[in-house]
Amino acid sequence: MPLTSLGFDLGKTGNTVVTVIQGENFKLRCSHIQSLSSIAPSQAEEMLKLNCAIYSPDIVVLESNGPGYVFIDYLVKNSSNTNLPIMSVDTGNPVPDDLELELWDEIKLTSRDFLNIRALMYWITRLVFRDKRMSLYKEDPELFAQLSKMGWEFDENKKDKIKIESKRKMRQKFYQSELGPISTGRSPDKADSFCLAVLGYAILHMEHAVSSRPALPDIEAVIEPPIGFDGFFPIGRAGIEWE
Amino acid sequence: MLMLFTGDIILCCACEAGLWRVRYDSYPDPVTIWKELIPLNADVPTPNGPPKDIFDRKTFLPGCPFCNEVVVTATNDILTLQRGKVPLISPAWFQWAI
Repeated sequence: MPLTSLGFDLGKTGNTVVTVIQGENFKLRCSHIQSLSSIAPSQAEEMLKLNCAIYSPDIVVLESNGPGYVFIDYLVKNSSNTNLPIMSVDTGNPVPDDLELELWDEIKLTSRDFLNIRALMYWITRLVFRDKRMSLYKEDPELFAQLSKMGWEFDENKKDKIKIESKRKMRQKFYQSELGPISTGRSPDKADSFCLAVLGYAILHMEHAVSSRPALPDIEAVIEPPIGFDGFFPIGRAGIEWE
Repeated sequence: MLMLFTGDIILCCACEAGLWRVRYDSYPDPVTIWKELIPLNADVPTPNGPPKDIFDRKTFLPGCPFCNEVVVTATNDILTLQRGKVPLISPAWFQWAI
């Protein structure tokens, strides 16, 4: 079943970026990327609703760090639309302990590998590009520059956990680099939005995998939500945190 | 020691994409291997601009024209790279996505 995920990022540099990713069995297509030079909640909400009306996403992933927190608060207090499948994620949080994400060709990711959710979502993005499972509706030099300049390392304290470069370091890198006007002094908002959409798809994929398992005959069928994910919340009520 | 033959394609350990083709048969060593390689995919845009002519990089240790900062070295029979310099997402992978 085709699934649609929408990543929505509000950056500290004043940009709002939405990314739409659609796919089935982790064969993904980025159908749309849109940037707005504003993080005003009313404008961001308009942009969000418009994209939801066009693409009817199964999930909308919002980063709850920084300006995203303000926007979520705004949505909860002001939005009249109560049906958007929004999930807020604090990407600085650790990955839920019992997470096991099966991708393709027996690639399995677990919480043991990653320092936080940010590392997880970038790593999934890495794998879909590496294994040729992502197609883009158009060439986007800014997105390419942001994604490919992202660095990673093993965490100094927890040696076996993958850690992604901080946004502050990324901004410095863009500022100091010779990448030209497309990225100079910018934070990786497009890359973040893109990876949030990929994370959203991965969550849908987990949920779908769980719900499509055949029920055991002697046990009452109970469809569990994916690990660390409690379901959608309608705007107007408190947002959930993925933790 | 690893023997490279003309026409062999070397996978950059960082990019995991075939970027270099061996120009002449050679026994590579960390100092001279890059002289024997020419970059492939020269028309693929990278965030760093067009792939640099590898022969313009004589003052540098061999680095992948796409990754730029990644240092590729040849040991007895494998190509290795400096840990921690591996890009998360290789620019070369984008050519498959568009």
